[in-house]
Amino acid sequence: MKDLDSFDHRPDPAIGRLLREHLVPQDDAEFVTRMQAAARRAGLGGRAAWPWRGLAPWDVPDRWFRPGIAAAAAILVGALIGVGIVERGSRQMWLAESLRPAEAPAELFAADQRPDPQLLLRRLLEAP
Amino acid sequence: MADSELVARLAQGDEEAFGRLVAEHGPAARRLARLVLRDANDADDAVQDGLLAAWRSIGRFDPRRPFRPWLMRIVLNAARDLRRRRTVRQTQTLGGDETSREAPPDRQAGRALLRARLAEALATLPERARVAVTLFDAEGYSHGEIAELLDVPEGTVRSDVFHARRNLRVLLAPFLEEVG
Repeated sequence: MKDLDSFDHRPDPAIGRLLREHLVPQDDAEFVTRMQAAARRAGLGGRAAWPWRGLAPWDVPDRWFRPGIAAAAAILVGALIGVGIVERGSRQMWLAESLRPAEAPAELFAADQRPDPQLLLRRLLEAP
Repeated sequence: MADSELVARLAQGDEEAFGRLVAEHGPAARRLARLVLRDANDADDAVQDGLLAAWRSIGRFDPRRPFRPWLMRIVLNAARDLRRRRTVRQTQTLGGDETSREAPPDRQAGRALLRARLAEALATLPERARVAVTLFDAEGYSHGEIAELLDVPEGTVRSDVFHARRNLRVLLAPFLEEVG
């Protein structure tokens, strides 16, 4: 104290010690307990009760990012599988139809002349 | 554990982190509130209001900045708000709650006397000077930090600290000789 005057820019250790030691009673642990109880009464604390409290605006999309990506991937895989099944079925149908014997090829190939295009088209259009 | 980590956990609703922050910063917050309210019970009520308000608005805290000044500002506002709402009880002054527990031995009597004198000395100072000198000498804040907290120019803080020290040194001279 003797080394410091009132203009000194350094903290005065003697005054500081007096103020620290004598302004607050020694019940800090009780005070912590009281504050925690007050927080519970006020509905603070407990992550399940208020999961969004205190979150920054970008935290919510951030939390949904991974589940969102996983869900989108699952939907995409499901869609691809569905499309694959449908396409495979139609391809099998097309193959079966193409392997089916034509109804009247003989009259076309047995002719001396080239087949009439109109006849070919009609056959194709009339095919079931 | 660092304040920044505790604050991050508090933002997630962690009650234990809240307790640790209260244990770390509660004593300084209580000292500050008592300087404003000059009543132990009112001060603790104000600190409670401030701490809960801080938790509710923890999302607005900038984690790049130190936590304590931010908290102290909230507690200071809570104390001032409570002072406006309540009539401060004059019957129980700073430190008066420990003097009547038992028949005190000499040491306790000396402490009680010192507390009473300290309370009287602080009562002679304007609120801003009380806060400024306590934050500077007892809490280790810089003039700039106090100026920001009190929303006054830094020169005003220097002046407040100067006048407060001068008064306290006169009024507490015998005790400061022992401590110093």
